[in-house]
Amino acid sequence: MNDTRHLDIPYLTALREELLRGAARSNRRRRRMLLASRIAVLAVAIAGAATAGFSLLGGGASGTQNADAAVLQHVRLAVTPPAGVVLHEKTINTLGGLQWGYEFWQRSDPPYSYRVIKGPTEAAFTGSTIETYDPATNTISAQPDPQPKLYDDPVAKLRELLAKGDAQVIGTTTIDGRDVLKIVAHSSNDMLFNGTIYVDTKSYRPVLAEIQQNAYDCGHSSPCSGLERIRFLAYEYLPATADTLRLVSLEAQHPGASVAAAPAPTDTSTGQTATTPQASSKPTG
Amino acid sequence: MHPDESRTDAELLKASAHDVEAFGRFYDRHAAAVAAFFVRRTGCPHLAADLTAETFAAAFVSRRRYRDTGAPALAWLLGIARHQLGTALRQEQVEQRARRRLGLERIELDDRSLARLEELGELAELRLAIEEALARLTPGVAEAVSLRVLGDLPYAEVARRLGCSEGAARVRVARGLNAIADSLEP
Repeated sequence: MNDTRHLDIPYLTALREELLRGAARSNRRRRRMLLASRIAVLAVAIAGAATAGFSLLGGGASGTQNADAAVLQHVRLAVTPPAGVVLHEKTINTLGGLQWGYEFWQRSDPPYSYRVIKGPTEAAFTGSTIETYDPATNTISAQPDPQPKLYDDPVAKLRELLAKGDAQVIGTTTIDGRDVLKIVAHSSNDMLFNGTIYVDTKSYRPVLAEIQQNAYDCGHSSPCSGLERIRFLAYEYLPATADTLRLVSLEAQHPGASVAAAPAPTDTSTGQTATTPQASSKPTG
Repeated sequence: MHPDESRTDAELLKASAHDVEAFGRFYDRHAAAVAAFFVRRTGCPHLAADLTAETFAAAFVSRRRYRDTGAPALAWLLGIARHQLGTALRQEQVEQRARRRLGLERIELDDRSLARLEELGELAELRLAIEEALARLTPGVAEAVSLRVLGDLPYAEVARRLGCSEGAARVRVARGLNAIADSLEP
């Protein structure tokens, strides 16, 4: 059945060897990707079991169970964001020909103070006030905001969605040479997690998100629609040192700026101070 | 008989996901045919070698797309080969996408391989047949083909040298190439 004519052509015999070497490398890479994908599914199982009140890591297990538990614990740590850090995200967002940058720093401990730069806007939450910075006048306007904030870590959110079945790993691919898991998420109340998210197979940190926007407030006269691509340039947990804590502070970033208390908006129907929803929530990427 | 010889192409492609030697067996079956295909169509063993490498790399990368119809996979493989050839002619360079994906090293073509690839594609016979076919063309048509194909001149220049319109030059070249193609039919 074999055609043996190629056997006396050194180029074709060398090509056979080279092809088989490449094929073996490709197969090994594919097996690693599959393993990573299975680990992600395991993570879902862990979270699901935790939700159901099981303890996978309980005592009295056999040797094999202990080994399994060690693997599961490792996976669990991989998808659990660390405490006592400053989360730093930096993205480039594109939508319908528009492009803007987004950078965000947030402490992982209460009151979850943060600073955010979205396009030309720079703002921060100190724990009790929302501040905005005006570079034209070098002024920081501060406005009381008693609403508690949440720690807005996408990895934690993704873990939660995977556990609830609102996100599924649907495959693996490569982005800029990085092996990534492709995850489809359907979160009813989160802008970032309504679409396709690509996360690093090893660190589970986001690399790219593609979200269908139907009426996104992009700051223009009319809302934008279309596929928004959020490319993560940085996603890291910085140790909470004096230097990194300065990153969440507008005053620290603009030491010469004057601080002015902005007048609280007034609810005209009751005459009472109203909390502006946009001011009390973190601007989204 | 090696046990792999009783396996179908589809079985070999499927097995290659965990056993790369199965892909080696698949290669053994079709390497000569694919290389000969390229040698005959390009007339250049260097180009044919490059295209053969990219075709088999692409076949491995896309092997899961092969649909088993019970027939040998050579038709599927030659479909990839035709695509590679078309791209190479359009872009004037052979794609390297699949080889890069597999991390393949470039293999130099030695003199023995060069000579054997020419034999494999029966290039000597092909050249002789083309020369005979050219000799049978009328002088005006033969000169048009020679200026356009061998001289690589634009039609305007071919027309100027032949003392005819550009349209007439195109007709002569087309007529000549068709006659050569007809004479090469088995």
